[in-house]
Amino acid sequence: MISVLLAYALAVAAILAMGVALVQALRLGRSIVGGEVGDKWKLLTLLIGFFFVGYLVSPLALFFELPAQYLNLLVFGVFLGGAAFVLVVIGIIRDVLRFLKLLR
Amino acid sequence: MDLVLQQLGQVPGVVGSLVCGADGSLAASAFPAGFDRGKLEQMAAQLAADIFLPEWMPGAPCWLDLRYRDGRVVVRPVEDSWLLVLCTPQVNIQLLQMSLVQATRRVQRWAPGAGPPPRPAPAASPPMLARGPARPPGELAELQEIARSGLGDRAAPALELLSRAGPSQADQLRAIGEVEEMTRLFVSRKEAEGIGRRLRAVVATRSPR
Repeated sequence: MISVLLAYALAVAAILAMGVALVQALRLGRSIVGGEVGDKWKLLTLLIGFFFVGYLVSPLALFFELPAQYLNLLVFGVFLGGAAFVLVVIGIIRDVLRFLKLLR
Repeated sequence: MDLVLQQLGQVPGVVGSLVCGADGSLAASAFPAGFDRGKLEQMAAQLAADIFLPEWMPGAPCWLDLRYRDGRVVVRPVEDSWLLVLCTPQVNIQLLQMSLVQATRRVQRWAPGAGPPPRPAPAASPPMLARGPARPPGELAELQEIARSGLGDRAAPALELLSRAGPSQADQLRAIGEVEEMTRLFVSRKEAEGIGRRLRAVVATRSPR
C-alpha cells in the first residue's frame, strides 16, 4: 500500500516538475527567433509536451493496474524519449557554444 | 575605453560600468549623472584592495556575480584590471555575459600593462599591404547596412563581427562566414544564405591586388 501511495506521490511530483518545464520552454521559445537552434527548441518543447501528457496519464496506469507487458512498453518508450531529449539538448548546447566561440 | 563602457550600458538592465587598475585608480567609467565620482573612485580602490579577488578569479573566464535586493554587481578581471558592472535585478544575465566577453576583449587592448591603445595605421603602411588590399572607404558601412536590413534588431553581434574583422579581403570573408553561421543558427538558414551572398558580393567587387 505504501509503495502505491509513494508511486502516486512521485507521479504528482513528476507532473508538477514537467509542467513547470513546459511553461519555461514555451516562455523561452518566444525569445528564440528561429534557425537551427529554433528548430531544435521546437522539437525540445514538443518532447516536453509529450512527456507532460504521458506523465498526466501515468497515474491511470497505476489505477487500472496496467498489465506488466504494457507497462514494460511504456517504460522503454519513456527511456527512448529521454534519450532523444538528451540528444536534442546536447545539439542546442553545441550550437550555443559554437556561437559563443564566434563572439570571442 | 569609454565607448566600450557606453556600449555595455546599452544592454538592458545595465546601470553603469567602470574599469579600475590593480592600483585602485579609476581608468574609465560610464555611470548616469547622479553617481558621485568620488564614491566610484572609492569603490574602485576597495575592489583593487581586496587580496582574495585575484586568487578567486585568476583569469578572464572567471567572473563574480554579487546579487543584492536592489541590484546586481558583476566583476570580471581584465589583464591586471577589473571591469565592474552595476545592473538592476532584472538584467538578462546571459545577454550581459555575452556582452561582457566582447567588452573584456576590447578593454584588454587598453588595459594598464597592455601597452598604449593601438593607433590606426596609415592606409599605405607596409604591414597593411602585406595583409592584402585596404578596405575601401564606406565598405564597412555597406556591409553593416546589409546585416542591419537583414537581421533588424538582432544585428548587433553581426555588426560587431564585421567591424572587428581586419581590412584584408580574407579577413572580411571570414567575418562574413561567421555572420552567416550565426544567422543560420539563430535566425534562419534561408536568411543566412541571402545575407552571406549579399555581403560576399560587396567584398567581391574589391579587386585583390
